[in-house]
Amino acid sequence: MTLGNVRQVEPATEPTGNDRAMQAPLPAKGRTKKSLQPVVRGAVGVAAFAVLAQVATSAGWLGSDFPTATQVLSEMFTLLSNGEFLLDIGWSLYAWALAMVLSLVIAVPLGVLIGSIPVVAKATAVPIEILRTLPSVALIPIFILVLGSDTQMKVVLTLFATVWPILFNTVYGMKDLDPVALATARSFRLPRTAVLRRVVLPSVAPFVLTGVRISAALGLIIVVGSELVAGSSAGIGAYILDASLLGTTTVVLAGSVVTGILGTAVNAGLTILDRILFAWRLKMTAADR
Amino acid sequence: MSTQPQQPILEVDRLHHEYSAGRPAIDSVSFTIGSGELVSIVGPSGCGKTTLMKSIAGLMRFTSGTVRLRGQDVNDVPADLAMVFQDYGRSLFPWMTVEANVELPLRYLQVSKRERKDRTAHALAEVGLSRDSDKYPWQLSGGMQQRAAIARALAYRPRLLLMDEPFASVDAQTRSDLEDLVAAVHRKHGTTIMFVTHDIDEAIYLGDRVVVLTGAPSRTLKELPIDLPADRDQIETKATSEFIALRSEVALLIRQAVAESGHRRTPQS
Ligand SMILES: Nc1ncnc2c1ncn2[C@@H]1O[C@H](COP(=O)(O)OP(=O)(O)O)[C@@H](O)[C@H]1O
Ligand SMILES: [Mg+2]
Repeated sequence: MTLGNVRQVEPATEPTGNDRAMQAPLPAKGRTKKSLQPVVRGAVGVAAFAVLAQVATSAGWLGSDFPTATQVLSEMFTLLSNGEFLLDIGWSLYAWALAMVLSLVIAVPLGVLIGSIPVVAKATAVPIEILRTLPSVALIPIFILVLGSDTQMKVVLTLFATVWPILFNTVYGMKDLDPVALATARSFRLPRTAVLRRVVLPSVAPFVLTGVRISAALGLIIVVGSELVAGSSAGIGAYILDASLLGTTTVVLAGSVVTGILGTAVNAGLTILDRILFAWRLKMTAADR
Repeated sequence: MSTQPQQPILEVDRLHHEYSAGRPAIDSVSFTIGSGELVSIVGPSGCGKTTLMKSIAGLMRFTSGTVRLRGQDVNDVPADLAMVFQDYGRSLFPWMTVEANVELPLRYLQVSKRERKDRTAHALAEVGLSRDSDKYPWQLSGGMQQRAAIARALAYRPRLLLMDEPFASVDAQTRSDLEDLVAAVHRKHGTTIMFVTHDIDEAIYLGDRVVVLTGAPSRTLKELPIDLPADRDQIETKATSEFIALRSEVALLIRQAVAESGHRRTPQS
């Protein structure tokens, strides 16, 4: 695969009206309606699921010992007022945040290099293919052996799953770099670092954020999962594990629901960030393509 | 007005380029541009104008021939040269305001912050975008975006300004306004401009001289001095008999050349 120089500078020739800007921003009313729709749909979905869960559990479809949805929900609120559990949430989020930051630090520069230097792309293609197909769960025993069963292990293991979406999206963003934008930068003799900072990084940033969104949800699941499997001393997974050993299914389920809600919240936050930071992309696509 | 080229800024000599061996995009193009001149390069679509532009700007290596800028061979992108691309929408950076776009190249020149701000403000005023400096490119119409791109080039104060079919994607009225803007800038600052277009009227209306290229692969067909008064008017100038005569002359030349190059190319294609 050749990256970076695949597209030629060929200015588009489609005629463009001079009043495109007026079409670009959607009317305010239409916009709020549009962005509220998924929220409403999501809420309806959640409500429907909650009702179904309540019916299923109270009817005993999942066994008579299985706690009902309302029990799980009330247990969740109890947990959320429990300082110990909150601390565990903190530990999980801490490991997760570290893994995310490290993923960015590794994946973005590597992605930029792969996307701009064909030799690097060629040299890294096979190793990356091998590494990314290794299931991180299978690596848990090795990582426990080497890194113990707490933060270090969690971070490295999570990292092992979260770098890829960011890396691949960065590389994808590099392919999407506009040759006209690059030619412009060169024609004004911007130094390399300036091209990187002012042109390349802003261009790929939306792609990176997409990668981060995918990685974030994934990462949270892996952090909590690894805490469970490795028997970490702290974290949501550790709390759930303790509860399950004590046979308190309600707590186990409540802890899982909290993890799910955290993931959803992170995802929602990143979606909003995307809209705020990269409004120009939406406008551009609305106006140009 | 035809300024005789005193000291050529740009000398292009037998420039030849093949993207793939044996299939020339440019056959042989030669011309010079004198200091302070506005030279129009006119040729049909696909004849190699953008290739010529990029070769002069040092954005690509050409197969053979020479390009000299103030006596120096062009290898890398020369300093004090600016380009305005046809594709303003992709040439302006959408994550920066209009002002930041104009200011950006100046950050990497030896220019104080104050002068940078000054130049930016002046350039924006010159193209009539002072009130839109805080907007983003995508909030502007196509014509205004191209004004912003022109402002960026002006603020850079190049010795040579290259414009590659800058107005090919805007509507007719905007196009006339932008042509007059370029003419005004040229008159006021004496900027040396190489203006590439496929539009014969535009080439004559703007040029001190017109260099006519053949169809693909292009050769220089003819150079015509344009002896029209310096103060030109979209309607009046284009109605003068001189203008009409020039237009027919160029159109005939191109028609013949296209027919000929068709003959030349038949054995190949
Ligand atoms: N990067 C490229 N690789 C291969 N062929 C190209 C490339 N750029 C342009 N060409 C070809 O060279 C010829 C001249 O193109 P161009 O310089 O863009 O012409 P113009 O600007 O006059 O329309 C065309 O046939 C075009 O397809
Ligand atoms: Mg072209």
